Amino acid sequence: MLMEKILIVIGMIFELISGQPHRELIPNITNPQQIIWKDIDHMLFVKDADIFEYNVVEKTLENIGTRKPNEFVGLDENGNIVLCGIEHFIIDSEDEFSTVFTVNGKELKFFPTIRPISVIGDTIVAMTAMDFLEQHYYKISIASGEIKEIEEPKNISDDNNENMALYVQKDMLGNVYLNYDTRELFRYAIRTLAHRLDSI
Amino acid sequence: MYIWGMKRYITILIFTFICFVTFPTVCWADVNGIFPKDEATVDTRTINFRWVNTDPNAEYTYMLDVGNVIDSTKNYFPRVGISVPSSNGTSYAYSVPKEFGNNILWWVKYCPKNQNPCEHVLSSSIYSFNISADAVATPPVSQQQPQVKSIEDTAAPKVVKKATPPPSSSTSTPTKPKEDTTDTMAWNVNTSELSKPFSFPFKEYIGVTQWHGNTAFQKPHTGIDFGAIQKEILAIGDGEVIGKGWDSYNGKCLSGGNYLLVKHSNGMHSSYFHLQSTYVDVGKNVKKGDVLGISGNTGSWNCQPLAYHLHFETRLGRSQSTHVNPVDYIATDWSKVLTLNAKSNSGRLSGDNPHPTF
Repeated sequence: MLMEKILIVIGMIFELISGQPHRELIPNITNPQQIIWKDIDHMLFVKDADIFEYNVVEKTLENIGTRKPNEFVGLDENGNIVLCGIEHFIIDSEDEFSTVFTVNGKELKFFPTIRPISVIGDTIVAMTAMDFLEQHYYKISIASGEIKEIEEPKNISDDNNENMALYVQKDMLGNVYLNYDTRELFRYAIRTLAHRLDSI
Repeated sequence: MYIWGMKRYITILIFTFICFVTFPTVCWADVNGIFPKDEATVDTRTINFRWVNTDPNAEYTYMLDVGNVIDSTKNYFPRVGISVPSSNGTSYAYSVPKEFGNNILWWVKYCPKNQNPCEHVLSSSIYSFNISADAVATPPVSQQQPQVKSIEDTAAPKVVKKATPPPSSSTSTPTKPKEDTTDTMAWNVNTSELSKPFSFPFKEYIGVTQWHGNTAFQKPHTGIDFGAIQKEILAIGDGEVIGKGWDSYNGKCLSGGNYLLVKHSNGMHSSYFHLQSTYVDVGKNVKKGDVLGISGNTGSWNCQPLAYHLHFETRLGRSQSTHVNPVDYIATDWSKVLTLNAKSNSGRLSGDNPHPTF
């Protein structure tokens, strides 16, 4: 019994020393258009019309909703799914609007031809929709409709998760892999524990 | 007994630690019987690939895929698929050709041993490893020639030429249709390149931001957008400049900017848009390779400024409606003309991309 515990501890130490990254295939999902981390345990995959939630711990994939082809999936303040409709128009003058976003029935109209790259809470981060145009990035408040140009945001790639303890990668075939680094996860656990102890 | 047990474990741990410190690649590569393990470094091009059958209750036949990592894009490119003889079990010795480079990846596909037809399932992991730059291939004497198969379906998209009509002019040089290329080993050894009439419009290889054809952004896109920032543009063949000016096909909000139109001796035309400046005038005869101007970002779309790029078209006649895929008429090694930022924007791979994965 004691030996087993000792071996587990030693194994964990070696695991941490090695820093070997681990990778596992997420089954039944290929080429998702969007990957959204809901929290450390759950991620969303948007695949065509369907929205799936993947439980990282239990390794289950559940279809939790649908979207239309011109809708972008985001999360509101409470972590619920919010859909952002996108319409583009050909215009003849700078006084017109070429983009309309529709969020929760509210229409937001903008001159630049843009597409959302992230919808979190009250904020939409958008970028120039067309590849051949000069690329700009914008921050939009859903509540006020205010649009403000920003620098290119870091980590806009679907593949990245902020803490980098867990992150997903796609291969050339569209397969999606969950990567985790034990050492980073350990650090994350310590940080989370410290944060929770502080808040007691 | 108890103490001996402790000693045994400690001894194993010490030896593991020493091995890890001394030969990290070897020790860790063999942990799961997989070799070369992910991110390993090896010092030979002749590699005894080994993998593990995690299902003890079934036997499988395997196919070993070996490819390379394209450095600038970090995309994977499968180069060879090898049917592993069942006598080999879960290993296969293969000498990785120098042409594959030093950043190699590999994976295994498998199907149950008696399945007919064999429907290969991709293994869950793709391993990448590096070969030391000075490694030399020494194929074992007894090694049999690997069976090279075209990798179809999921492993590697076919590279197939889009059918295009021949040039309309009777004076044109007949162009031999490019061969369909279905074997990933041979895709960049295309003899029909020699029969293409034109040359590349730049002095060096410049990547593409949008290919010709029905792309994710335009249907159709009438040319190829090269991601050129103020680069010299070249005449792709002998001919005469027959058009120059400011293109404005729909007011100031939809403009191609400064453009040039060249009529070539075989009757075809080439056009260059969004130029920053031009060095030739209408009526000027040009030779293949002459510098015509500098690429830029002039013009606009939906009243918005364009990114720096060259929109380049080849046409059978003068009209834009006769546009054809430049890839079919320009003799160059298109494998070196990469799709720019394809990883973050996969839509750029769409259209008549001669290599749909990068």
